[in-house]
Amino acid sequence: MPGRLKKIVDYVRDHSILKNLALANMKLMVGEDVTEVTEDTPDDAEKEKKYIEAAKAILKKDKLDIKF
Amino acid sequence: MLKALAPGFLLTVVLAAVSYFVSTIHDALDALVIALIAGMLFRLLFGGQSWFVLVVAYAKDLKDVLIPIGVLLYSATININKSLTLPINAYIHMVVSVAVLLIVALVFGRLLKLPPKTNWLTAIGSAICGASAIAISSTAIDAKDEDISNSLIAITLVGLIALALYQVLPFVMGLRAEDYAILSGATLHQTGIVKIATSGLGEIQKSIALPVKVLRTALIPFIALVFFYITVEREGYKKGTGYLLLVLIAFFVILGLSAFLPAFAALSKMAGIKIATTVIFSIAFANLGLLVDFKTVRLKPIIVAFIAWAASLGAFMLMI
Repeated sequence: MPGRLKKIVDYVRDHSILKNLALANMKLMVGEDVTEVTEDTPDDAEKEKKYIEAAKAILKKDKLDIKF
Repeated sequence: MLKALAPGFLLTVVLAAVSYFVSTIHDALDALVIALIAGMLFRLLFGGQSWFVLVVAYAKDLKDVLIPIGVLLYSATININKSLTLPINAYIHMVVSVAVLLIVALVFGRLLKLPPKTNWLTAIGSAICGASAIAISSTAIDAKDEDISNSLIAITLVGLIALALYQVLPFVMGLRAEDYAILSGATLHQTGIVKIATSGLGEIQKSIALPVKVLRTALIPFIALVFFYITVEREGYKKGTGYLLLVLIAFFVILGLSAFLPAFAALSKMAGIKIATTVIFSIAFANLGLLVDFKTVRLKPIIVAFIAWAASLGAFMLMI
């Protein structure tokens, strides 16, 4: 099922005041342009781990309540 | 997040401070124009660096904050009183020029199949007040980055071409200094460019050229509201754009205060306040320049802006 990475990116965007800055920061942390992630981007466990770690660091949260 | 904010914040502040100091070297140099071009060049030169994504993201996020603050502060320094005492022919030329610039740009933009919002911003930037009008209106119409980039480059480039031609044309055509001042105020794209073009006119610059330009600047809230309304009609109301209405209302109020309350007008003329206003507005303009992505630039908006300016020059020459 694709779409898990997109949900993480959307979560970061929705929970940030400076949305573009949060996504740019995430881009630098995961090493790829997260704004190009779409619903059809295939799931990838390795990437998902990196995305979640980056999201936690950006949002300064220990736990993310993303509904997959 | 502070770490992520730092590059954009520091860069825009440094660019604005440098632009301000450069502008103090000579009267003909305008801090806002310098800051805008410096922002564009910085992105052109360093846009490929990985860290620059933070700068561009900062510029996008802060655009809707910095530009309204800058415009409101700027509106406090506008002396509309001088514009109210202009000779009647200055009003006629201003109205005709704004109408020609707006209509010609919209019509030719449509003929050349420009994306609608690029077309609107190019027309607004040409007819009203360059970068400030584009910045405020881009929020009002929910424009994309490419729309902002293309319209800003078009009006800056055509403004500079017009500035260069105005060093020769008026003398070839035998224009009187007063007519040249009206021509510059009514047809050039940015206040800074009007200042540069008329820097040799002395008192006539202050009494005619800049007051004519101020009249166009005062149209910003009206034009932004019109296009805001058109966008809402076409696409529905978008969350987050409501604050723009407050900014536009504040613009009207401040203009009114500076026109009818002498104490307020005197306050806004204090040197310290003028410098602070210029630096803050320069930060906003540097920020705006950083939004310009040369990779997305197309020739058509430049052609449209040039035709509109040429048409306004033609209309002016027919009327004198």
